[in-house]
Amino acid sequence: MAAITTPVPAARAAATSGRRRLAIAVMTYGALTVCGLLFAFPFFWTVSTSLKTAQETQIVPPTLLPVVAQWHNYMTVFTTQPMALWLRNSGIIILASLPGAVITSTLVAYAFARFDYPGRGFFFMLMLSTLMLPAEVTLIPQYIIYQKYFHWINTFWPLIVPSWAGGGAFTIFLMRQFLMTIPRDLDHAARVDGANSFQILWHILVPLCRPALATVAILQFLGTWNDFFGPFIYLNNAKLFTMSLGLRYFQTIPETVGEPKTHLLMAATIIMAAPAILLFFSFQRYFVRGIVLTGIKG
Amino acid sequence: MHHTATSRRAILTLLAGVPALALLAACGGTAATTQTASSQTAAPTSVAASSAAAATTQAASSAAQPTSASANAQAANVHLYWDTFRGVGTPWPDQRIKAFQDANPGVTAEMRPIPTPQSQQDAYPKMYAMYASGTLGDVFAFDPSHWEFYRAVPKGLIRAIDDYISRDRFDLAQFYPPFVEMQKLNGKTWGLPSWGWSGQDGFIYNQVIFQQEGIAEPDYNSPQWTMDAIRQLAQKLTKMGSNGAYDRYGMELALGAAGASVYTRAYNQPDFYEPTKSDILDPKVQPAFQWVQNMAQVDKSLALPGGFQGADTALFASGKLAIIQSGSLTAFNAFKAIKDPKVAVVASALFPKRTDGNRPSHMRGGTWNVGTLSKNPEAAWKFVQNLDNHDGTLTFNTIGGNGALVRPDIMSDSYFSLPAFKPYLENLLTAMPAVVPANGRGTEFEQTVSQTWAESYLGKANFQDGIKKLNDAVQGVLSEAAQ
Amino acid sequence: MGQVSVETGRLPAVAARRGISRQRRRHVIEAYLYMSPWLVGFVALTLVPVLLSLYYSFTTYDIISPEKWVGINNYVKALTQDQQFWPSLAKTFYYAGVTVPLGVVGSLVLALFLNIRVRGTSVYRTFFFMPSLVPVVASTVLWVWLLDPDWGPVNEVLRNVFNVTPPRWFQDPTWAIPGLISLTLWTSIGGTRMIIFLAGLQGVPEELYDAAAIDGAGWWARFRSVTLPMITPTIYFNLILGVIGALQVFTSAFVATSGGPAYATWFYALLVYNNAFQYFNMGYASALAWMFALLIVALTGLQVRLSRTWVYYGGE
Repeated sequence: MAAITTPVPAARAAATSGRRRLAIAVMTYGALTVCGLLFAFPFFWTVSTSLKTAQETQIVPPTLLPVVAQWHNYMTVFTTQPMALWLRNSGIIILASLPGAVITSTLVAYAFARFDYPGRGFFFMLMLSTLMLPAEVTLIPQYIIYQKYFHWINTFWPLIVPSWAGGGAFTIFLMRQFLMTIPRDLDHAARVDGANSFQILWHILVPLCRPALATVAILQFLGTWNDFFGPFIYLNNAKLFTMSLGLRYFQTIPETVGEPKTHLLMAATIIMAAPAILLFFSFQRYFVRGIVLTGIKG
Repeated sequence: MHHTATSRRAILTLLAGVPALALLAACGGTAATTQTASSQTAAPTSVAASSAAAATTQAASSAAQPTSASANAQAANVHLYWDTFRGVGTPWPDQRIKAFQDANPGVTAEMRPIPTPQSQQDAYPKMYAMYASGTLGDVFAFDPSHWEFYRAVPKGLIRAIDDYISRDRFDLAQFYPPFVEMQKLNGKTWGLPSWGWSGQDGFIYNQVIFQQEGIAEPDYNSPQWTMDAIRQLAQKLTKMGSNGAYDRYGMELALGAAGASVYTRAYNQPDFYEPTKSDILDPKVQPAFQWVQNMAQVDKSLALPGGFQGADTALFASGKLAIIQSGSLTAFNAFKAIKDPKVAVVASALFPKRTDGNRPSHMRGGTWNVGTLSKNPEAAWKFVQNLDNHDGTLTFNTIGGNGALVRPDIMSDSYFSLPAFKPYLENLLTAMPAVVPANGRGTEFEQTVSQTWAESYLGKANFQDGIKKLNDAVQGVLSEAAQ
Repeated sequence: MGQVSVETGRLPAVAARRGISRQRRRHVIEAYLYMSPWLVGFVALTLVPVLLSLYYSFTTYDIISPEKWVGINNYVKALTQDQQFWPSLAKTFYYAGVTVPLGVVGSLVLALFLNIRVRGTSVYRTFFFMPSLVPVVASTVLWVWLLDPDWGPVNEVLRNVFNVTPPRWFQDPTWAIPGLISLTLWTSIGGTRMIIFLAGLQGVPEELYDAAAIDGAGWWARFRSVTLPMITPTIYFNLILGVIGALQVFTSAFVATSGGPAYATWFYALLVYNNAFQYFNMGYASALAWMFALLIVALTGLQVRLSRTWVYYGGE
């Protein structure tokens, strides 16, 4: 594309750009690799610890690699605690809340982004404000209300329903920003063709928002998957516990006796992080391919 | 366009089907989870795993009880809820439940674990919220050492059990007296001892280091074993490297309110505070704080908090820390952490005797309570006894991961035959209780001491200023109104 | 319904007023319909607890007994008597003041890196994102070891390679916050913020880059005149949420240092948490929380106002 229009003597351009491109490539790959390894270190470290024996984890200064990789730690994690149950529960909550977050955040953001109505500014600030009041002080009143009026304590509902109410200010705000970057000409054109607001949203805006939708999905997944406090406070019955709660079973709480369980904790952590990593790895394609065409010529 | 249409349709079907699935799952919660729990038992094959499997089946069937119990509302079947964070992740709770159900036909029990995020303190907000919404269980624990006991009792969350004790002629002498005293407040008894030890009333030391350095091991019964002697020992054992690094720390102290209490008591004072008053500026109390300050800032022999977190036993096991102020629990932990006996072997010593002949200590302990919301206090009382009897307490130690040194009759078990543990036995009889702030603000008091004192021993303030600041801060908390 | 003329937006005079207001009304109704999931959820689930917490801020409340009205006592106590109130605020702003700019710039740089279409980008992207996928507790514990004053790798390097006496990080009140800042940056630069920047970068139309290239613009000029303006909505988003998030820093301080040493990392959120869930001063904690919320609202309002001068939305 650019090559066709560059009016530079072909041979010289080719030589300089070839060397330059090589230098850039080397620098880029080099920087990316160094940075990548640096960032991946905590993960690598967690894997390494998960393959050590209990006492190996107690050595100071810690060793980089286990002497012999204890792969059976991963089996131990599954057989000593109901990990499969926890994974299932976490999975249920995610499956139930993810669509809610994606759908409702788009709907609500659509209102903020494309409509002009009294109260829009007020509700926008109000929505953002929900992020600003520390959760500690609404938690107990919320808990009591959930129990006395909804009887939601010890069920998954408190963990699912909020995602169907827009999925939180974060996701709504995100979708709103994205929708606002899409030129209104597309909307107008569709209106002229007789489309109603929902059709505009569904046929025009949503397809152009794929990077944003993918981001919302990933963020919602991570948020719910790693959420500790919600399940901690709302779930009583051990059979309903999620992975994030279950991890606590592997932590030796101060003032207790016992063999250090750090290796098992790390194994459980990896098991918990694995789906997230896999999902991220596959989903990220949607960020790449979301090229926005303005669709308007001339 | 075609591509987008198909993928959108696929997404739509997925989105539509999922909430239905979730609805099913959430509603059919109990039944579905019982199903999964019993299918768990098919998987494991190893010996250790099968006992866990048996426990899971047991828990599964007891978890199924609520449905049937609520279905037959008027049935004779009594079901107890046991809310705690203790023993979570071990087979202990299920074993206790099984023992109880076997001995009490017609009564079932279910544990509702509270997997605390960071410290045991974090269980209490949830328990208070449960109480406020009427769902707190029949049996739970507001531990005196966490101070919440002194809030929960006056506010009416806990049922006094004196009537049951006298009616059943329950023999409280089966426990060490200090731990029974801990259960009392305002003339009544509010629970039975659960976990307990005499606090950080001694030291564990690494015999290997002493041998390497040619230093005589501590003889804690000799009159030469004084606080000054301890200070000098720590100094001798500290090795510094280059550029400010330590090769080995001489000593780690428990630098908080509990530690300060022990040092003050070692200097023959009752404590550094009273229920409404701080005594830190008392010249008879000052030596305790001076002792710490000297070791921290003059000798620089102390391992200070903020390093390899919570891993003092790891440092000990690697030979990087010679002495740790500790109690019996830490002796166990250190023993389990040691991988190479050529690097570390654990032995124990106690603080020097006071002029009254006792060793200073600052006992820590817990309780098992019967809740006032319980509809079956009688059954709950039986359950508490089951947790506290010989088997219950012994297994609380051996498999439940707690230090429950509250009964003399379990001490003969081989679990307690660890040589490093033996010295602490004498303190169980004379363990000294904590002074309780009159306004019940124990946690606030403890954290204030921890944070404010650090300025002194970290050298950020000179000793006199730092101690004055500490005194003012502590007095501030103790003077606040009760809640 | 009257036919609205596309060119002039006007109706034949008679039907004009009725038709436009009907369409306007429909527009407003539709807007509220789309907002309804959030509106309903807010009223049903959030509004009452929020109002209750405001009420509690004028009381002393410990959850298990009825609250006692004390008027503005809690607010007065916070502003004049609590030894930690002002220091907490200061530390929180110090932390946020460093973390937000560095974090936003860092995430943007990483996203730009990853936007280059090299081989194996998906692998690199995953590597950068990994710190966010490891639970905070695990990475914090790891970081505490990395910054261990005696045996941690960072200080080993500083000692042996640079031959200096390194700071004692989490043992030293002066260095605890920088230690935490480094932890936060490491775990968050490649995280969700970077993903959002990536998505934003992908939204910049190719044609603009091509046009700039034709005009002979080098990569810096392209960045400054095409990329930067087009991603201002994303920067704005990350800034607002970055500030809100940084001011509420809690977990890392809680796990790494429990607010110490000597209150060094006693951030405002920790102050609220301790009062709420450790000391059970729920009334006082609510007052603290509301003061903080109002502060953040004011800050965010300021940012929203200012945004009109620098944020460019392609769709307007």
